Amino acid sequence: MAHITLTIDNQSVTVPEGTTILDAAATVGITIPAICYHPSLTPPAICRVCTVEVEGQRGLQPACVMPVKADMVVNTTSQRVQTGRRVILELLASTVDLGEAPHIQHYMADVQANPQRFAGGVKREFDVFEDNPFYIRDYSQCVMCWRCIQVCAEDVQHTFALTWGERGIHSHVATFFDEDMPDTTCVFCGNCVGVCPTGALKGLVEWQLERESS
Amino acid sequence: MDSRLEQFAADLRAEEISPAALFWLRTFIKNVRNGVLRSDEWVELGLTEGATVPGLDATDSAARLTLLSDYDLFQAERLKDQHQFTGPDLATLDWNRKYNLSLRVTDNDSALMAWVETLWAEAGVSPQAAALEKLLAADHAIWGHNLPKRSLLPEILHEAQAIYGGWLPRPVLTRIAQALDLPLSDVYGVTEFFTMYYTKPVGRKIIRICEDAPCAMRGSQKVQDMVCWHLGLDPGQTTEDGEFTIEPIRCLGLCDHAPAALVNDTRHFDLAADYIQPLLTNQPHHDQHSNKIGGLVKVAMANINVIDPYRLPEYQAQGGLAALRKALFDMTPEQVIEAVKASKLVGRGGAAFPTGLKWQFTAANPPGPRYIICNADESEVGAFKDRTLMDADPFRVLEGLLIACYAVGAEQGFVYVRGEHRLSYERFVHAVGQLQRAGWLGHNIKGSGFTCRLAVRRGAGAYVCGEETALMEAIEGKRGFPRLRPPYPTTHGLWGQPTVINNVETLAKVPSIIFHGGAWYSTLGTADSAGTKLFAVSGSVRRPGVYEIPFGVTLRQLIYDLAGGILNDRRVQGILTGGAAGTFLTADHLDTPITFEDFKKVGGTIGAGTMMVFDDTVNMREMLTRVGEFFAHESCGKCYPCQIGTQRQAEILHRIQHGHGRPDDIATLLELAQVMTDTSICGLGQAAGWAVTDAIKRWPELLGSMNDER
Ligand SMILES: Cc1cc2nc3c(=O)[nH]c(=O)nc-3n(C[C@H](O)[C@H](O)[C@H](O)COP(=O)(O)O)c2cc1C
Ligand code: SF4
Ligand code: FES
Repeated sequence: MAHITLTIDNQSVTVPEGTTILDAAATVGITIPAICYHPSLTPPAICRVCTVEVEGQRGLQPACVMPVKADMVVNTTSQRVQTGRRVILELLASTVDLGEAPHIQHYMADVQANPQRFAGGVKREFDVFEDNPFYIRDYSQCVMCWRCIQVCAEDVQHTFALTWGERGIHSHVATFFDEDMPDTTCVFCGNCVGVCPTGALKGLVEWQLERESS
Repeated sequence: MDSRLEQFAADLRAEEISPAALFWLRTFIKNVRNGVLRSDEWVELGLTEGATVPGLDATDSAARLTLLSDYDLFQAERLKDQHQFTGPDLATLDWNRKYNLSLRVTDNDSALMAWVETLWAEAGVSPQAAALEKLLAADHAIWGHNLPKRSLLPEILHEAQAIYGGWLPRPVLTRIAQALDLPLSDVYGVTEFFTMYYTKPVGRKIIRICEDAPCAMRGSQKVQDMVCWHLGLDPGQTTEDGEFTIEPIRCLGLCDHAPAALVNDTRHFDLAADYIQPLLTNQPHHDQHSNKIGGLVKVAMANINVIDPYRLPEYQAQGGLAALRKALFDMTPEQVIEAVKASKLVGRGGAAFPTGLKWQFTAANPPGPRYIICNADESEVGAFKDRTLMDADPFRVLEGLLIACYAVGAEQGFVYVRGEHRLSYERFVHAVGQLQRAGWLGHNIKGSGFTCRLAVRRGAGAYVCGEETALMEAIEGKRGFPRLRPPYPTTHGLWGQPTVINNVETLAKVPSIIFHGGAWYSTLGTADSAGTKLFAVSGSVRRPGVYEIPFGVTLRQLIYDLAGGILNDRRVQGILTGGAAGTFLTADHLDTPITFEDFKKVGGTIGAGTMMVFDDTVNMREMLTRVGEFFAHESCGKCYPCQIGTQRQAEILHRIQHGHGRPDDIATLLELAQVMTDTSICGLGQAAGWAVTDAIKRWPELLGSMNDER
């Protein structure tokens, strides 16, 4: 396979053709933050936290899907990148509860994001769905990374229990007519719980134990 | 007939028992084998099928138990000990267990089956369900040929909703999903995305009064308040008798008749505080067909108010179809592409990409299916030039589309019409029918060897579906989420095949270009902005309407000479060019020639050609809030910066408008706009902060001194 050499943060990097910027950076120890990206799933490239600056390109680019090109010059920490990342994280923190997403809190600390900056507007708040014997769904903690929807659909399970409700700021994960999990096609494979990056999906017992101890 | 069955039928007709009881009997008779059916199988089969029968609740077990215990029709045998149960005892059994269930009546199977089906047709299924079945079984030529079934979903949802009184009950969606082989969740997700699909009951009359700037400036809020007061509702609510729903709506594209409203599919123009009754009765006081047009040249608009848009012969009498004939019989596809390139025509949908080049890129793909789409989703704030073209002369747009299909080698073209523009949809459908009958569509058109079909599709309330890749998702029957690019539609468009997407106006220019030649068109306008452009002028002008001008005319000529100047002789405060996704010019720019190059110099946007004019009495803070709310309402929610950023932008603008601004709000708005532009997936989020940034730049005082309410 052909190899490609490019520059990331002033380091020369050589990787096979077709590698993404995210993976290429990882080979030289540069970790680019990412929320929606999961190595086993189709990257939806929607969180845009992995944003990087590629010289000669108009906007910032999502590192998780952008393939490397020969002689590309990538900057993962420029002022513009940091601003983009910080504002997106500030927006997210104003919308959902990130209390059980320590990795996202770290990203925020790294760019000195102010979680209160956009506070006071519409938030996504839901009661916890405790509708089956295996797991709970606490969508107040859901960051809409799409992982559960994808893992339930073509990416893995082909069960199609999940979809999107509404759109825009009100987007949320939904079932057919919001019916309870046991009434959907859900087979309780647990894959969605496994890929959830926050505390939104959690085993029922774990959740109950946490509640008792708090 | 057995007297027990007679009794059952009599009770059913007297509505003593619910049709669900008949449903369970029917399920039994349809599935019984050698006289017996296992009880658990029966229940399971019934629940599965019952979920697809509109108007029936199979999960309510009462009807089943009545059937079992009241008519002495059934006998159950417990499998472990062969114990027999009949009559009321049956109601005491646990029906999730296994019993062998048999009928105690003596009639033979086929006679019983026929008897039950007759009863079912009479009482069990509603006429609506029958209409739904007919819809699902029909041949939907007007929506497309040999396409993946899923692609029919949006149209079937529209039609099913019409059958069911304006909304989609759950069993209807279940049945549609089953017929199209789709997961229930997918179908539901689509209904959730588009505002014009309802999964809960709505009023028989849905009153939608436009809330965006051009209508708001002319008092739409007051009319909405009056209607709300009259009906005792808040926006978004439905009257108790189910007659009226008031639904807040963004720009309806009827800004030349502002303030405007839709009641169901019917347009209402020039609303005033005394225009309540026509809205409630849905009897508009005006002609639905008036087109306010003008300009200095007539290329795309030559036939408007000249021909009857329902009559192809009138179009042909004006020279219509001569260009298509010329292309098919005197030109190769390559020559057609060369002519369009020579014309220097660029896209009129906003991005100004050279049309000939787009066609060439698409034509250059390896052989295989290709598609052409006419983007008739016009939903930008203040935009109505495409609506005027398609309402008044759908044939010209379709002729342009057919020429594009020929040039690129596409055998299937689509028109995707904004859902709110029902009239335009009907005119396109009618025009396609006339072209078909006249032999200008279908197999081997007029013996030319060229085969082409056109399908007309409706949107359902989503501005983002004007974005080309979101539109393709919508045609495929999915939620209108924009795709990641690359790859681009010229190689990977509809169903992954090479696809050209062009704006209505772009295509409407094509017939003249082919007929008169590319060189002729390129000499209109200026050297760097070739040809003519349609502008939709709205807001504080005396004659709002669509004006066709050659590039190079000044803003002053457009606004004063053509659109009649400013109402009440006020002064221009600002002009929002290019729509909500555009930028502001001021009175200082009135002598700027309208060209791509001159606008670039002064920071204006040509975009799709909208000019919203604000006089010096207009509250610009309020207008900016409305722009912000527009984007927040229309964000698809796919990428974080736009999903959340558009909402926060609207919130900040709202508080500034009401005098509650915070010291760092301006800096926050500017930074937010930059980040949305830098990181959003599609043009919606990328442009969502432009107008705001521009207003801050043009009028530093406007949002600057934030603590005085204006
Ligand atoms: C949010 C958004 C909405 C759009 N709406 C429309 C529209 O209603 N009509 C249109 O022709 N183009 C619209 N566009 C532009 C299309 O993506 C595309 O560029 C255009 O249809 C191409 O046709 P053209 O080359 O003939 O202009 C929109 C773009 C965005 C980002
Ligand atoms: S920019 Fe907005 S509309 Fe476009 S994909 Fe992102 S969320 Fe959707
Ligand atoms: S990780 Fe790349 S967009 Fe989310």
